[in-house]
Amino acid sequence: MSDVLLEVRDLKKHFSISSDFVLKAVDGVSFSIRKGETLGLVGESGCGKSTLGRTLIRLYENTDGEVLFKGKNVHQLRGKEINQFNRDVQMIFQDPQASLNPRMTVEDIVAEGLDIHGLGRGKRHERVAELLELVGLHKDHAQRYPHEFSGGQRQRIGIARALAVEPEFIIADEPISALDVSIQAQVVNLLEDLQHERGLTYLFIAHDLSMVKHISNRIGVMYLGKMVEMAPSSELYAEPLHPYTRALLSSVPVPDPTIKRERIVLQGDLPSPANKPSGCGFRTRCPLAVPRCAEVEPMWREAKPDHWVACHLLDM
Amino acid sequence: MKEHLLSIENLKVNFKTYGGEVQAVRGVTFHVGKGETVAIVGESGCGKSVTAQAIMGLIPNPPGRIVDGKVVFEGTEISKLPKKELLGIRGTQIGMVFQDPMTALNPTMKVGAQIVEGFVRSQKVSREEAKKRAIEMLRLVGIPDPEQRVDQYPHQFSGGMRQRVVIAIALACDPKLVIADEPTTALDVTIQAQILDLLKQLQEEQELSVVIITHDLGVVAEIAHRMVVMYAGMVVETGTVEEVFANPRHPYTWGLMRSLPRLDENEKQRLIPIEGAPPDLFNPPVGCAFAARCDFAMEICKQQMPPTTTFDKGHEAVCWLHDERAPRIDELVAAGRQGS
Repeated sequence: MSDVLLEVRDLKKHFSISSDFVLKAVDGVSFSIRKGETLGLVGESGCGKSTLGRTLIRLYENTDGEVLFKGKNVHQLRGKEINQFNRDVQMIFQDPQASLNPRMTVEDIVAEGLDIHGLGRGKRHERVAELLELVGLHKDHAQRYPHEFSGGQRQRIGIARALAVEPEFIIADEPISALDVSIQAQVVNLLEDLQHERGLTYLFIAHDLSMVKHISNRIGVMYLGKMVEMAPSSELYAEPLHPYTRALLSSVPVPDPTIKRERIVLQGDLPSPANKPSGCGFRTRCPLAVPRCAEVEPMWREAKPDHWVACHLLDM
Repeated sequence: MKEHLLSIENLKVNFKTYGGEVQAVRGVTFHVGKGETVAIVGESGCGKSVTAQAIMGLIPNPPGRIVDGKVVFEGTEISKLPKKELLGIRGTQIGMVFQDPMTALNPTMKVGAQIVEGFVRSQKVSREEAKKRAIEMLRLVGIPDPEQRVDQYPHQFSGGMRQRVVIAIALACDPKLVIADEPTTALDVTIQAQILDLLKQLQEEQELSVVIITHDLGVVAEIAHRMVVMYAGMVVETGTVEEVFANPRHPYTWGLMRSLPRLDENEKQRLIPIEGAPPDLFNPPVGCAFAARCDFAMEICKQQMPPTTTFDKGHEAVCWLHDERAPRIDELVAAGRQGS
């Protein structure tokens, strides 16, 4: 298999809410991302998927564990290494309205990374024009402001900004959730084309399972700050092993009225990450829970080649 | 033929803005039968929420106004009723479920009181009776421990539970019609599944008519009997869900269906987006609004509004391709245009 670009070992990110109250947003997650692949990350709101993405890119300091990017611990980088890391890893955000400064022109937004890293000297203008055309905008758009664009176009500006410093790895946190269906497909196709042309590696965070399945090579499923299952996307959909993954997949409404499926409707709500159940986090909603689930936390292990899962049912 | 509980005829709604007058809804006609769930589908800005607001008499005036057309509920033209009489219908005969359960609820009021607010006003019941009703409604929408929950505030409920409360409010007066504007968009998929099941079950038990507004074709397939596809303030296609999904007749509907990835796709296929963006409704095009993005657009499409063609079982599409003079679609596909 191809080389590992990013490795995450038992990563934890806790937030102290008050002196005796800690929110464990990411609580011991291990996985790796290979060069050139797209890893999808799904889970419900509050499961820690965005916090995980932000900790990987050093927007948050880690509480424990490590993130190795090309073998180097990203939370211990110093000086020039940080600059290089910031060029190598870029992020695309969910809300293209909130993530673009309304008082900057598109040229200044896209070129900000070039300026910081001293890449645009003498050819800033040309580089921006090139980038805009790459993402399907027109070079004349450079002098306009974000409010002059539609949601889909703004997301393209966000993508151009991320690409400006020629990154290897892009974390896309819900990049299409704020867009209309017909525009989502445009942006997803653009991301796929860019990946082919430039050999990019993506971490694609989303809650839309059909879109994640479409774009990802492998998918990780998170629940309450833990990874519960990770497998190649076709395998995850064909043979989900974790009861949560099964319920999640069966909850997605299929746009086909002739298909009548047995839906596993989970009872209750996601417990608060500040007050997690003992043992397996999912046991309070799991239709298959046994007493052992409340006592011991299940191990994160490779149940089949390249198919990781954390569930007691598979140990029995 | 079923009796129509609600019919909308040639509804037109404009909004005045600094930039001019936006024609948000440009002649929408459809009807809802008794005990029927109708889904209105379309992208943001297509006028689906404005249509819902017009049914409820909730168009803010100014800046908005109903320019033309009517809304008929049980034989009464409610779009012409004075405010006072409309109040007797809104909330009692017609209930509304909003998208965001956090902003739809009053954070300073106990949920029980919010549920029966309309009920108390219309029925003049005692406080104990009102509370009993609130508990009954909470039980109906599947909230555990309703006796305790009735005295709690919205912040003590999770997102899914809040949406159940919003549904309880809509149903408190035994309405005949419920309008649900993106009721599950703000919720997680596992919670969405719970709410869709609840709506379906209530609709069947109480013989409700439901108008559900959504952009998610999966939700439509799951819950609706009939669907209305809107684009740029107009209806482009309508019919039973089975018919429209099996034989979509409008290029916009084809585009919507093709641009969705499928969970059950085996081979990875490239998505086919609808290129371009919806038209500017300050200045809507003369002909078909979709022509600029349509793979099959002909000369006539840009000049004249297409007629409505009727197919089986009330399936209608508004497109020039169904005119007898138009070239056949399979010929166009063979000529290299992308088909369905």
